[in-house]
Amino acid sequence: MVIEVSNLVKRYGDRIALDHFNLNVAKGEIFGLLGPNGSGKTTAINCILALLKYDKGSIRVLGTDMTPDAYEVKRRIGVVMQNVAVFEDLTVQENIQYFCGLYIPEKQKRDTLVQEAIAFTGLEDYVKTKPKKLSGGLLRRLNIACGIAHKPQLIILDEPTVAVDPQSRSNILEGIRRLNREGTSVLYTSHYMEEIEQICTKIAIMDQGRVIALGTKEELKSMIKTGEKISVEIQGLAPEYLASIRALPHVERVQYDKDRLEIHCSGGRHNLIEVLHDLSEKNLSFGRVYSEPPTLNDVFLEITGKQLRD
Amino acid sequence: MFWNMFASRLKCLFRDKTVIFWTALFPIVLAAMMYFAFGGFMEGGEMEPIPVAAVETVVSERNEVFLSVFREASQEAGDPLFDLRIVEQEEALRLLQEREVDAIVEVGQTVTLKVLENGLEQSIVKSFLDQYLQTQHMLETLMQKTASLPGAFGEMNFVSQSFTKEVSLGGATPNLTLSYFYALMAMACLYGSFWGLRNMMDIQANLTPLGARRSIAPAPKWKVILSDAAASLVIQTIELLALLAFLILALQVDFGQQIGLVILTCVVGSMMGISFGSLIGAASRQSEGVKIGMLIGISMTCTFLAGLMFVNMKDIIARYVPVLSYVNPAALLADAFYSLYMFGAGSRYWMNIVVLLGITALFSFISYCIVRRQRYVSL
Repeated sequence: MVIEVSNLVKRYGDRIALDHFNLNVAKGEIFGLLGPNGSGKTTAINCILALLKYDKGSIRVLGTDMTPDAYEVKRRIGVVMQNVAVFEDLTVQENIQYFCGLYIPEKQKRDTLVQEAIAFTGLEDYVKTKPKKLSGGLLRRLNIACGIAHKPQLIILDEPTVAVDPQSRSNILEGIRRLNREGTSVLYTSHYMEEIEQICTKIAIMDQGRVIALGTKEELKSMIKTGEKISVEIQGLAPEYLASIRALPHVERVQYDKDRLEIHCSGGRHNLIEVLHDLSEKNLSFGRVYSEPPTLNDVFLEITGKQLRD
Repeated sequence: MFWNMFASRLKCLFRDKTVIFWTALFPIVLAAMMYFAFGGFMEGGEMEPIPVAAVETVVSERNEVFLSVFREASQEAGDPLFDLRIVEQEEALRLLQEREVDAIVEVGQTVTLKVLENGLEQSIVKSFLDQYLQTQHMLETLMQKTASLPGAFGEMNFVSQSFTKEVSLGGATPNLTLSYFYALMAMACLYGSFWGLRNMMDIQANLTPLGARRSIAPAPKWKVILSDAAASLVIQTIELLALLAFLILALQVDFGQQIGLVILTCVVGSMMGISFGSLIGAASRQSEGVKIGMLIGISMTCTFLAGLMFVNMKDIIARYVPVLSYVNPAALLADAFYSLYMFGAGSRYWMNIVVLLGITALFSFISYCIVRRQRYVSL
């Protein structure tokens, strides 16, 4: 395991931020920590990094107890914080050099790593630019370059794509996958379920300081009753037809509102064909049809009764 | 690792235009404004001879002696006390009315002084006359009483002689105007606190994201603090030396002969200013804006009490609240420059330096104790 957290408790006064929080990240994983804002993701990261005091529990990183002066462990970790943390008065290259220099004392090796980090994040055209002249996406890329330039074994990324345009977000996610392919273990936190689904090999869903579900995305989705969601645009549907649709196999729930029929199915195959066949048999004309597999939001919704983005 | 951190920090601070303005340009602009405001005072404050009209209404040997003494005081080589004109009564009155002379001295049966107003010049003329008349009276009385002792009087020496001599150990002449510039140097030293504040903001994880990133790096905190402090000390010292060069070369402000010790004072002042800013940055829980306000407020209060706006303030504090002179860093710095100029590297100068170093050590120790913690209750 590269990260082992057990029974971590962190309180802010009367409020409990982490409630017996457990986490195990295996070597080579891209581990996603998913949860709404305020669920305790960043607090957990700050405890793991030995920035925050905690009330109870234990944290081991790369096989060693994590303490503020565990410099040998820190040397092997790269961190990309939620807020961009760079020197405003240094250029892109100077910033990466500074932060890489905190980990790599040898100048020659450092210079090589800096160039690699610049190439990796696609900042070649901006090496002499100061951060205030960079766009939001480029700034995030610089933030990442400063965190990973020293080629760590473990990278912790805390919401690295907040306020980033879709293209930059896509570049960042692809970069993380590349790092993972090169052997780096990753702990990735986000409240964007699409990102977590896209890149993570294992996912923990957090709410109110606790892990409420853990597994691969397939495992998580199989935990819930809801499977496929079918939406059909259809006008003037009589109530008796709704009853016949409810009677179809695997149909869990049916809603009809504003000329839109929503059918929630539990597992099973060919649900869409069954529904369309039934509508044709009854000579009902319909418009566009959508079929959506279950999402992590559905998982979160079913477990907590809340939307992930509430 | 240290040199990488030091060099990067140096670059970073050199490019901080806002702090560079307040710590380097602002004192230079203020010095130039003060120089033009003081105008002729910078020339050393030498006194012009006092124009006096003398009228001899009765011609006598006694009056001739008096006038010869008066003439002598008006002809002292290089430093005459009076600009004497011996004229007729009417002419003297005209000169006084037209304020071409400050006083009329009528030499008749008695010596009479006529003035139109009271002032420093008139008081000097009166003092001169009083002293002359008293000495004359004393001599006449003595001559009467010793007339029965032939020879005794002749051996006596009546030449006024001073047995002490006023010298400046620093080879300088007193000049109050210089104190303003020394207080300005003290202010510039205290403005080094801006660097100290910035260092503290950039190192504490609970204050800035940059502080958090530096806290999770595998670099001991003391090493990061030391590299930041060293970089800011280099910049602040360079800025103070630039100000010193401007004052000496452009404005002709005299700092005495011991320029090496003046530079040492600048270095100690820089250290003190940076440690002061570090203390405010570490100890205060306020926002950065409030902390900057506190720095400016405290610095200006200290320099006011050290005589930046009113030069006698330093003496008033020394007389009525002497302990304040020993704990006010600006007063200690201004006095270090002044004592170096006036008395050289004596005990007074070294006392100031030692107390400043003590304050610096205290501020630095408290700041380090506050920021050395590595885990926070909240971020």
